[in-house]
Formats: sequence, structure tokens, C-alpha cells
Amino acid sequence: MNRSSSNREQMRTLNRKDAIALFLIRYAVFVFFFFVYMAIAIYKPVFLSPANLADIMLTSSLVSFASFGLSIVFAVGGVDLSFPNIAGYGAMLSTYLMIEVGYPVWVGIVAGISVGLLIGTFNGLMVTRLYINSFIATLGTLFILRGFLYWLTGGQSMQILPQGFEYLGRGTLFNIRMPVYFMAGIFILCYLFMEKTRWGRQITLVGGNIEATRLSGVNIKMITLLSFMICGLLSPLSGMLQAASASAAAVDIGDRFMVPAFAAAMMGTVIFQGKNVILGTLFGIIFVESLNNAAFILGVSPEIRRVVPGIVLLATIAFNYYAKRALSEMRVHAY
Amino acid sequence: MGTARNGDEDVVIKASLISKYFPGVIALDNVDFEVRKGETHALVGENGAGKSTLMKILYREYSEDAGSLYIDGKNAKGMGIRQVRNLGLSLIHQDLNLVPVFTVAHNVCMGLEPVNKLGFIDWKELKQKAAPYLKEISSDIDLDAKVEELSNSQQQLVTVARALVAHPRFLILDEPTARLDQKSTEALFDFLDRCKEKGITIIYISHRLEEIYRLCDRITVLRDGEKVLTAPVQELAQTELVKHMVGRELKQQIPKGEASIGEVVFSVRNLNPMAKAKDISFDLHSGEILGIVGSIGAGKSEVARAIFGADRKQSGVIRMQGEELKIRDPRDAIDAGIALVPEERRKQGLVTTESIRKNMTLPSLGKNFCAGGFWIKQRKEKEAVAKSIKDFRLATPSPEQEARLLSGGTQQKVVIGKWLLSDSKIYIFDEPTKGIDVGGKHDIYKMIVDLAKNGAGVIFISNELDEVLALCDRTLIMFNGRLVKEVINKDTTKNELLFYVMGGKDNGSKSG
Amino acid sequence: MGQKADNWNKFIANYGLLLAFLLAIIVFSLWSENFLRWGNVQNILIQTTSLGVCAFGLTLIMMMGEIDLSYAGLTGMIGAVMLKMIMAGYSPVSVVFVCLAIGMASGLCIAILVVGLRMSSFMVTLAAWFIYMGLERYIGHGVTHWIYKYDENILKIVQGHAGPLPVPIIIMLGLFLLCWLFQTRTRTGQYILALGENIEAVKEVGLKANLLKGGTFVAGGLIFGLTGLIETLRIGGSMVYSGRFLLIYALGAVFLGSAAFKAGKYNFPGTLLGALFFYTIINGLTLNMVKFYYIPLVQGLFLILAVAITTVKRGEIEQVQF
Repeated sequence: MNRSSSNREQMRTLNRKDAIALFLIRYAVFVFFFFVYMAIAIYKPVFLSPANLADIMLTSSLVSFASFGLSIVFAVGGVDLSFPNIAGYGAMLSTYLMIEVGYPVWVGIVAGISVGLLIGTFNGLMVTRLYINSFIATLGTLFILRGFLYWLTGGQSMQILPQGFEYLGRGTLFNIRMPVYFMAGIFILCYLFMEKTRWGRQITLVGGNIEATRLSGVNIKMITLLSFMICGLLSPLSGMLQAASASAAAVDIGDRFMVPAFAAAMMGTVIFQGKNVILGTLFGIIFVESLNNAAFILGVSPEIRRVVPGIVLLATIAFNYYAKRALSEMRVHAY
Repeated sequence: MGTARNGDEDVVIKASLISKYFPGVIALDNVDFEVRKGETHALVGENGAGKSTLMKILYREYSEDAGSLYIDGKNAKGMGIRQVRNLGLSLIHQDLNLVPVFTVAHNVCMGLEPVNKLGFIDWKELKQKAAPYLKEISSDIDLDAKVEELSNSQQQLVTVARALVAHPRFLILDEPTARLDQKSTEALFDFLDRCKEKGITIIYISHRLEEIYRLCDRITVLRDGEKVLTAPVQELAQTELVKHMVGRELKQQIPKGEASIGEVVFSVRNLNPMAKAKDISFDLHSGEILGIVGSIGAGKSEVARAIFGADRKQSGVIRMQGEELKIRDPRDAIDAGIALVPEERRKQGLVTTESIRKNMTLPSLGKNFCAGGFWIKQRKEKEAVAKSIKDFRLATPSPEQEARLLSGGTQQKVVIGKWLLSDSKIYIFDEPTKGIDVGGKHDIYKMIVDLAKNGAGVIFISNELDEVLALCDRTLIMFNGRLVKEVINKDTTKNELLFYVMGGKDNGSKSG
Repeated sequence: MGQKADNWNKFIANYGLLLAFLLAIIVFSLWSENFLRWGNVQNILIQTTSLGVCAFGLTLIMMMGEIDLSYAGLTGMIGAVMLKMIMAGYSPVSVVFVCLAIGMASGLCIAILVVGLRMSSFMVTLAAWFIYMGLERYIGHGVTHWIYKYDENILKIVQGHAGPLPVPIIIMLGLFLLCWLFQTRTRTGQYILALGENIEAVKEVGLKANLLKGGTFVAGGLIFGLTGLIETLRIGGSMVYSGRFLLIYALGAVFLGSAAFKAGKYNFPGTLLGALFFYTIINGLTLNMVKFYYIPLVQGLFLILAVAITTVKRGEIEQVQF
């Protein structure tokens, strides 16, 4: 039939358009990355100097732990808003134990991480047992922790930190600061966990379709709980290393990276369309932090720089929306 | 027939060369569709043939990509729902698009609520306004009741009353009887007869041939987005109509060989799901395909889900090879070797954003593809999935293809494949061929028959009596939540099945 | 017997929160004799105003099945803008006008993104919150300014009395009545509820669902603008990130409210009760010299409990749509 074949032709061109769109969606972020960097580097060559790159890596690494944890919570279909205060509480508790009580450094670190794990478990239980929307539940935790933080410290900051602890944040190996190595280590662990283990696989699938996963015999409550626990476990690392590298721990220590970590994890979830979230989050962190760094080099005022991560977040969401729509329209039954 | 000679001036709805593309899919392909004044026009076709799309274009929920549409002589291009409603066109959806917390009266008058001087809704007048419309179709629905308190059947009647408020001259009904019980169906038919007397033009979409022959004057058949024919109903025999809808004869499609039925492997006693079904007991033999049929809402899915642990159950004993199983959630069922291919493939069967590989190995990941239950053995996984893809002839370029990019039939094969990889012994299929094209159906039937040949027990739930009749060895019929009859398939007929599905009783007269 | 138990359950579901509220009042009035003094009651009511107003806007939006978190940043940003304007000597009328206009503009932007481009309202408004927070710092440089130093006239808006009641209370109760009557009595108000219950039903009868939805976002934005105005005037200056506290208060009030009067549904009387409950507890604790750090603690627990009441029976994990 003649008229029908013209329709089939139209369908093919639609597919071709889809293919181009798909390509753009897959790589747009990187193309964008590249051009932004080129432009900044041409304008301010110092941007690409080794010292500056090392600086970007350092600031990225401090945010990264919370961001990796958050991206795992995103992967399971949840949100954890309490991570800044988990980070803050972990940092304040460990420094408190080290300075005020006089415990050795490792005890402080273990305590900081454990309390994070505990809070993560609390968040996870609220979501999986009381069925509270994770946004609301973790918002509640955010406030509860704020109360605890003031209770613990009376609002005071910790100023002089033990040498061994400071080394974790300020020490260098081959001219690279320690937190960068930690970031690399945690990145590899998280990456392997998400891509190569059963639990990581199940986390991704629960996030994709919780009902189908349940009907395939996955323990969805355990898996959801687990991802909140991981986020709780990782967040204090950000707080403690931030304190160690700044040689001081203040009550609002987590607030600094709330928006960047959120934006980075969101980007990570989106860059590869919900796959490879850990790698995506690494890109996201470096992107957000280097953008912030570039803004600094370009002399943008600190007030405006505060808006940047928010705009990155909005842009990411917009990008995600278009990627999703473009992809969902490609329900091509070509086979 | 009388209207035919009047020719074109009687045509009130005229759609010419309508095409609608959803990216990658042609939903409607140059379809011509004409409805004459005062007639009842049936629109039939298989699932996915384009009926609902065409109706949504008429009602301006969608706009066409090509073609022209005239309603009552007016060009409908650029019109919205509001404008076509003002032209006198009303659509009764198959989805119950009601507001559950509003009263019946409010739902009926929604969009046209009377207001007082302050701009507040006048509830008293609202009720008075709604009453006559509701009375047209039903006498036992309380105007003050909240819609959420009504049964499905009553809710559907409310949607009919709501359509009447706009004083339609053209009425489109999209599978209105799917949710109606016997009594309401009769009430609806009486009402439609009265509409016809008043000269209202009706477009009637249905799967049920009896209804079409009872109600309609002319019929249009769609298939795969194209119009097959339009003809007066009387000139078209039922068998011929089915042939036009399907494109070939269905019966020969099911490749049923000789079954070798063994011992009882699985038995259910006094199963009471949380809702709908009651007191279900049956046995399943190895190598047997057991059909369960019943109309929508009879409780078939509830039984399947309760057995599988997808929903909680009130009581009941489930035995596998004589041993009692404690099934609290799907994990227990899967460990025992029970598999469920759920009704909603995309929502319950697959993680559509993930690859075939990850979907296929999901239930058996810990058991078969992990070292120490934790570390995924990727090579073993890939080999197993590659083998499944070859064995089931999955139409996909790669095991990494995302499930949502596959055709319905291929998706369903992936769902079945994931249970094959987890060594299940009992398979429950809940409407596995819903919305799947003819070729895909054939492949799925073949997979099911092969399963039974290899000694698995299969429970096959479906609304399509033809496929149950041809595929299954034995069939249970459910009516209103209870098992009412068991038949051996080779000794029964479609009419007998239909009789029990419709609620017929043994000692009554079998009209069939 | 079963009927009786059923009725009792229904009663508790609808009025349990009210009983708890009365109980809290009794406990606090026994604990501290100052609690029930008219001055203190007025105090509680005035403290509740900005929360109440904000929560009404949120109720409206949550009623139609969407969410708007932008108020958490918007109120603070409006505070910063107000101070800038007052310091530059603009008249009170123009300040009020600009505040409301900013609110509406914000609502319009959200409406365009959510309704026009069909993006997730949760994510859009979350980003908006972050952006407004940044803008607040940009405009106000993170410094607290006090209004009385520049212009005392505008403060009269909140310091005045109308009859026995202070103006802020009148504004809150007036807005409550307006919203309540609008939502329960007018066609548009009912359609907003219908949007949240079943948007297809609204579309099917030929109503303009998208316009309605967008309009509701704009109305919400307007109310959030009003919140920023009242909050800033009530505090008497622009505090850094003042809106962040509202975030949890307002969500808490709305969720808590959904557990009252019409169990499980968002409704305005419930929201008002939730907001009052919130500040009653804070006031009661403060009055009894409870340490300040207990307050966020209590607030967090309060939010979790309020939500748990409505969700614990559901039995399904709720995921977030990105």
C-alpha cells in the first residue's frame, strides 16, 4: 500500500531523530564540561595549573563521601536530607571525644562513623517500617540532630585538634592531600558495591521498580534500609575530614556541602540515566566543585557563588526531564 | 439499512485519513471513519488496534497528526474537550474518571455546578439537578453517597449519568460493560435503547460480540491502526468478524501437543485472600495446564497473588508435593519454586529501565549467580542470559537492551525467562497475553506448553475463553469470588464456559 | 458492638488530634500558671501567624497532589529584599506590593516548570529553595538588619490592633476563612481538590486542568510572598535563612492537619490546628525554661510522629519521583 509505506518512511526518520537525540543525551554533559573548561582555561590559564587542580580535587574529596552515600539513597528511590547534620554530628562527636574526653584518635573516628551508621539506620527504619516518605523522615532527623548537636557542644566549636587527626585532612602523599586518596578508595568500594554485588544490583532495581522487584523475591525493606545505612555510614567521613583539613570543627560544618553534595549526587543519578551512579556522582562532584572554583578564579563574589550549585541542580533536573522524555518516546519496536 | 441510501448528508461524524503517531509506533494509519445520524455504530478490534486512540481524537483528548475531522458539519481541528462537549459529544471512558471523595451528585454535575449569588456551590440545587440524569440509568444509587463507597459497577453508571448532563447528541461508550454486573448491564442496554429512540447517535466500543449484535447497526473494524472495513452488522457473520479483527483464525494458533499429566504436585485448600475471593480449593498436577476464567472482578488475580504471597491472605493451606508451605511474601513462594507472571507486565513484571540481563537474573541472583551469595559471577550470568535469549528467540540486539525498548511479546518472554532461570516448578500466569500481538501470543503459548511438557504445573488465568479452551487441560470457573465449576476442556464448549462465567447455575436452564 | 468500636475509631481518627491539643493545653497550664494568660495566648497566636499563613498556601498545593518547598527559601529572600527597600527609603505600600509580586512571580515560574514542562514539583521547588537561599545571601550579605532603625511606619502593619485582636492574628484568621470557604464552597476550590484526587476526572469534563494547576501554584506563591512579609515584620528584621525553620514547621502542620477532622485528607481547619499545636508546644516548653536545644529536637520528633500517624497503616514504602 502506497500511503502506508510513506508512513513507515516517516517512522524511520523519527527513529533517526531519536538516535541523534539519544547520542546528544548520552554525551551532552561531557561536551558541556569540555567547553566550559576550555573557555575558563583560555580566559584564566591558572585554572588548569597543577596547584589549582589539586585544590579542586581536595574540595571535591571533602564533599564526595556524603555525595556517594546520597547517590546510593537516590538509587533506591529515596532522599536523605539529614546528611549534612549526620556529617556534622559525626565530626563533632569524634572531635569531642578526642579533645574533651581525651580518647585516642581512632576511637573518635570509629565513634563518628558508628553514630552515622546508627542515624542512617534510624532513617531507614522510619522509611521501611513507619512508611514515612523519606524526604519528611530525614527532614525530621535533620532537626533532631540539630538539637543533639547543640546539646553536645553548647554551640561551641572545637579549635585545636589532635595531630594524628589533622594529618588525615592536611597530610600529603606525593604532594596530594590525604582526603583525595580516601575519596579514591571510597569511590572504588562504592563502585564495586553498586556494580558487582548482589545488594548493589538490587538497590538499583528497587529504585527502578519497587513492586516488580518485590514480586521477584527481593527483600525490598532490607535493601531500602541498607542504602540509608550506607549513606549514614559515609556522611560522617565528609564531616570529619572537613574538620581535619580545616583544623576546626564547628556546629554548622555540614551546611557548607549540603547543596553541592545534593547537586552532585543528583547529577550522578542523571548523567548515565540512572546507571553507573557512583561514577556519575564522581563526575558530578568534580563538575560542581570545579565550577565553584572557576567562579572564584573569575572573581565572582561569594554570595553569587552560593547560587551556583542550586542552579546546577535545577539544570540537572531539567536535563533529566528532557533525557527521560526523549528516551521514553523511543519505545521503538524495531525488532 | 434504511439509513444507507440517504448517503452523505446523514453523516454527522466524519473523520478522513486520520493518522496518529506515537514516536516509533503508528497508532492510526490513514483511518476513515464515518458515523451516520441516529445510528449505533460499533468499533471493534483487538487490543492495540487503535480504537481508544481514535475515540480520544474524536473527543479531542489527542489531536491527530494528519487528516481531518468534522463533527456535525463543523471542523473540529483545534477544538478542545470543552468545545466538542458543547457540540453535544460525550465520552464514557473505560477508566472510571471520577473524584472518589465527591458525592455522586457532585460527580454527575462536575463542571456545571449551580452557584448562588456569593459564587458558592448550591448543594441543594446540585442534587436536584443531578437526580433526573442518574434516574435515567439507575434507581438505587444514593445521590449523597461518596463515590468511593460505591461498587465498580455503580461507579460506571455514575460516569454514564455524568455524560448525560451535557445533553449529548453523540455518545461514545468505550467498553462500558467491562465493569458492569449483569443487572447493570441490562439497565445500560435499556438506557441505550431509549437513547436510540431519542435519536442519539452512539459509538460503541466493545470486545463482546453478543453486545454488538444486540445493539449496533453498523460496525467498523480496526486492525493494527488501519481500518479493515465498515459494514452493516447483519451482513457480517460472527466468525467473519473475528477473522477480520484477528487477521487469521485464532484456534489453529495454539500448538498444543499431547499432555502427559502426572501426580498432584500442588494443592490449595480453603484459600481466603484479603479481598474478593473466598474459599478457594483446587489441585494441580505435574504437566498440567489449569485454566482459571471469570469475568473482570471475579477474583482471579487475587487468588494468584495470595498464593504467591504478593498480598496477604486471611487463611488457607498451600501444599507442594504434600508438604505445607508457609508463604508470607513472594520470597517464600519463590524459594518453594512458585513463579508468578503478573497481570501488569510493565508495572509488576519488569524493571523497564534496566537491561534484559538484570531483569532475567533478578529472582535467582543470590541462588545461582553469586559467589557466596554476594559477589556477582558476571560471566556465568552473561552466559545464562545469552542462552535464554537464544532458546526463547528473544528479538533483541543485545542482552543489555533496556526492557522498555522491547515489544510487549518480548517483554513477556523476559518475564517468563526470569522464572525459568530460577528453576521454578509451579508457574502462575495472570493474563499473560494481554495487549500482545498475535505473533507474540503464539510464542508465549508455545513456552507455556513446553513448560508443561517438561513436567511443571501451570496455572493459566485469562479472560479470553478461546485461548483457555485451546491451551488448558482443565478449567476452573470463578464467579463473584468463588469457584463455581470445574470442567475438563476436551469435554466442554465455549458456550458452556461462558454460561458459568456469566453466573449460570447448574440446575437452571442452559441457554448458552 | 463492632459498630460501636467502628464509630469510636472514626471519632479518634477525626478528633484525636483535637483531644491531644486540648490535653497539651491542660498539661501546660498546670505546669506554668502564665500559660493561659491572655498575653501569652496572644503571643502564641502571633507567633503562629507566619506559619499558619504559609501552611495554608502549602495545604492548597498539597491538596492538588503537588508539593512546593520554595517557601523555605522564598521567605528569607523576601526578607532580604524588604530590608534593602526599606533602607533605600521606599514607602510601605510599595514594599508590600513588591513582596507579593515576588511571591507570585516565583509561583508563576514554578507553574511554568511543573505544569508547562511537566517537571517534578518536588525537585523543581527543592532547587528553587536552594537558589532562593543563595539569592538571599547575595542580596542581604548574610547580615541581620533591624527594621526599626530605618522605618517604623511599616512595622505598624503588624503592631496595630483591630478591636481586641492584633493585626497579624486577623490576617491569619482572615486568610484561613478565605481559604476554607474558597476550597469547600466554590467551584474552583472544589476542582483543586479534584485535581489531587483524580486529575483525569477534571480533564474529562472539559475543565482546564493545567490552567487550574498553574493558577494554584501562583496563588500558593502569593501566599508564600505574604508569609515572607509577615515573618520579616514579625521578627522586625531580616534574619539569615529564617525560612528554613518554616520548612519543617509548615510541612509538619499540614501533615498533622491531615490527621484531623477529615482523616487522611489535607484540610484547612486541620492545618490551622496543626500550626497552633506546633507553637503551643514550643511556647509551653520555652515558658518552662526548657533548654533551647530541645526545641529543634521536639520539632523533628513532632514532624515524624505527625506523619507516622497518617502513614503507618499504609504498609507500602513511598518512593520519591525525580
